[in-house]
Amino acid sequence: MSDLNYDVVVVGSGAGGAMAAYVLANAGKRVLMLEAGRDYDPVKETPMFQTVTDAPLLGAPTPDKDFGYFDATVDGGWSVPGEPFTTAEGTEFKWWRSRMLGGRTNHWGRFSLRFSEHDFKAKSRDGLGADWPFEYAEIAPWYDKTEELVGICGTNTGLDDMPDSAPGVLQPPPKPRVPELLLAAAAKKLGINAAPMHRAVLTRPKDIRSACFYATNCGRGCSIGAAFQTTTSLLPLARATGNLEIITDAMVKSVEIDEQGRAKAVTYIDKTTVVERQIAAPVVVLAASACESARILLNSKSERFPTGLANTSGQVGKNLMDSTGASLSAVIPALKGRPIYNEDGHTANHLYIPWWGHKAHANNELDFPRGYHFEVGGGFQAPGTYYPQSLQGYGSELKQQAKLDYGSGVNLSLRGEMLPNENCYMEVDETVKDKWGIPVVKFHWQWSEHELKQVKHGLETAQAIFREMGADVSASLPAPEDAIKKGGEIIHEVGVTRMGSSPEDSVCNEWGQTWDCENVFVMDGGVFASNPHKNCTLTIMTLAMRNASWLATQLDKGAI
Amino acid sequence: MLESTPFIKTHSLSTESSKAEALSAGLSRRQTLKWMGVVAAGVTLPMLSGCEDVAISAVKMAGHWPDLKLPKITGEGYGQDPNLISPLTSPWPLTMSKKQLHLAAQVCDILYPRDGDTPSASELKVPDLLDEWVSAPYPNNQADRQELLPALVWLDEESGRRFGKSFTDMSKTKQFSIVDDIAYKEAESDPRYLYMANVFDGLRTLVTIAYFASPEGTKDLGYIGNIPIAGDYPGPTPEAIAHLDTILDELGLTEYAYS
Repeated sequence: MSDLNYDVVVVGSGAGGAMAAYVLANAGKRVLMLEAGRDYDPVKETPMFQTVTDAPLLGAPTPDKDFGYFDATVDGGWSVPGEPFTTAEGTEFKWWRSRMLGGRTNHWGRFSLRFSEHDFKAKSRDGLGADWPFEYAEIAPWYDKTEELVGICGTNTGLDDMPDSAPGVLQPPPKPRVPELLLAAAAKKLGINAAPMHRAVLTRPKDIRSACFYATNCGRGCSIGAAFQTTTSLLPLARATGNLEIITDAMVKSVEIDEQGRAKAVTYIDKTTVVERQIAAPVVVLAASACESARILLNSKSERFPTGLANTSGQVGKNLMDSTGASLSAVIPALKGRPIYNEDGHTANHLYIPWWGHKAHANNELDFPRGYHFEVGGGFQAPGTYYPQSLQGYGSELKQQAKLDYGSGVNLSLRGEMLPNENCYMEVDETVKDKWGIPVVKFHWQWSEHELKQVKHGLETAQAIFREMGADVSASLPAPEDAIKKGGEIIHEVGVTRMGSSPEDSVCNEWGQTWDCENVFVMDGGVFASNPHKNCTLTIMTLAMRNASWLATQLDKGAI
Repeated sequence: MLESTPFIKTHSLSTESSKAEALSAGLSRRQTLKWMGVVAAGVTLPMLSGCEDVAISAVKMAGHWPDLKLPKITGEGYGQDPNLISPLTSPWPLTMSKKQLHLAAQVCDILYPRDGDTPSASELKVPDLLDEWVSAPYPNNQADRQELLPALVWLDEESGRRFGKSFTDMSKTKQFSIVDDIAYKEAESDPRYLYMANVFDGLRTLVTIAYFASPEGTKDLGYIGNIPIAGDYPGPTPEAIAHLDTILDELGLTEYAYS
């Protein structure tokens, strides 16, 4: 494929980029994809069934492999070799990156919950943050198509926090396990419903992918394609059309514009030769991850756009949001010594607790504006990941205790919606460059009272649930400031190129098309106008599918 | 300073829910505060300002903690793109001496002795894991090295103080008499054993994880899994459901059972 022989350049091969490429390639558009990391093949590289004894240090996390030895992250994690970022004095932010084909979809949690009308129009309700520039009803069919293609297991529950999928879209969820069933009953007594988690894990085979066989952690990646990642699904499917070419080890630096202010080329570093290359680009789709895409825009300075491309509003890098996170664990005496069976399941929670506070919010009974959900952990984990809570003694009494305690720990992880605030943003640090010579990202971060009060409520609720399960809850709860995870730590960073209905206060229109430059699109989490508590990847893919479809029709019309 | 002494971090309950929560244990801030509480209660120690460093030094002094001044291990880790299919068996040079390994093996076997057909911790090569652990160049491992190796020396010195012999030369009964003082909650209120008890707790956790991670230990624990299942996930066995029904009843939750 020569420079002039393709219609769209897509930057990034993760959730947004791969979906955009899949849609465009299937619409007959010729797509060139640039990926900053190395080529990666889950079929050959996934450590399926390896036990921790096969790994150094029993697979424990190290600064080289922050989520453990077998985690499917290449040349990344909380740090990337030679590619630093900076944080403003007195602030902390964590930024998870990977440098591999498929990006972070190779290891993600696969939790796939729809946003609702309630989520998309929260500002209309409480005056905070920003509304999205479309209605739920408009995007619902795109959620259906995305869920169908990605393969989501779950159930329509009718709960107000969980919009239904069209009939026949969802695949059957796996049966819940004992700790989840006990927790669900305890929550129910408090008026809180548990529900099947929706996950991008096949429980029925689909196209080139197999159904889950309920073993070996999805975070390692999935060689059989049951757990969704773009490298076993969208990318091979898009390549099969003959319309997609991928260049790996291509670290994009900037987008170049012509006299009319249209994008004309993309500049990238070929990492294997460390040579800077420029490639003609009729249309550019940025999907490099929210903060990388914003970084590319901010580093694309020109006479016409001196503060960076698509930044006339000054909003590029602003409105940085993560999910709130906090966690509480308990040992449940009633679960000690219970009958052992295979509790691996699809290796994450089969049941979770969706946000139940819609009515309480409507009645002004809560002192924080946005909701959260709980993910449930526990069960008979594979040894090596089993962590005994507190052991005493030695010899046979020690072993007896360790065996009795096995499978009695339960964990609730809070994931909540945060509001954008003026203290949370990113910019380019002109004083620091990465090893490719590209100015790096500088983060600014500060949680607001909204998030701290939400976390306080979550910890108290988790404690109440554990109390109903018969746990000793006499220990005092941590302060919300201590319990809340660091900014970025939940790896749901979004919002830095947000979409909106006005070029005054947003970077993109509802199609992810930048207001300033009609042939530059953003199709990653950067476009989020708000960050509902429901995990961002399904909505990134849904928007990419919808907006790439729109882009294809515009190209057909010759409108761009 | 204490951030640098987290005994063993293991990975996760489930990828998403704990991906950002590498579990850590051992010498946490909570425990420091607990020490400060003991110290502040004035147990044979001089008045302190409330500084954590001073409190820890005082507790170490009261416990005859050996100051080994161990040189730092500097070297390469396995990198950020290691082979996941066939990992290197020993990515860095091992550093424990024969004497240290011998003592460690005895401690491992006090924790997990041979139990019928189930081998002891040293038979399952847990001491080798300890060696790999304290020899790794990563900050957490280096911090643990600064605790675990002095702990071995402490056992020898304590044996000397009590019985005039090294730990490995004593009878099991005498070894147990020392371990009895550091292996239980009671040690938390005795400045002589407080510090060692915390380190011993971390060591016990590490040995426990390594022990049950071995194929024989896994069998002993009873874990069933990491095997492909054809068709749908079967869910809890009838026996497990019957047990659940019993505990739901005992907790007064039967009417709220999930359906």
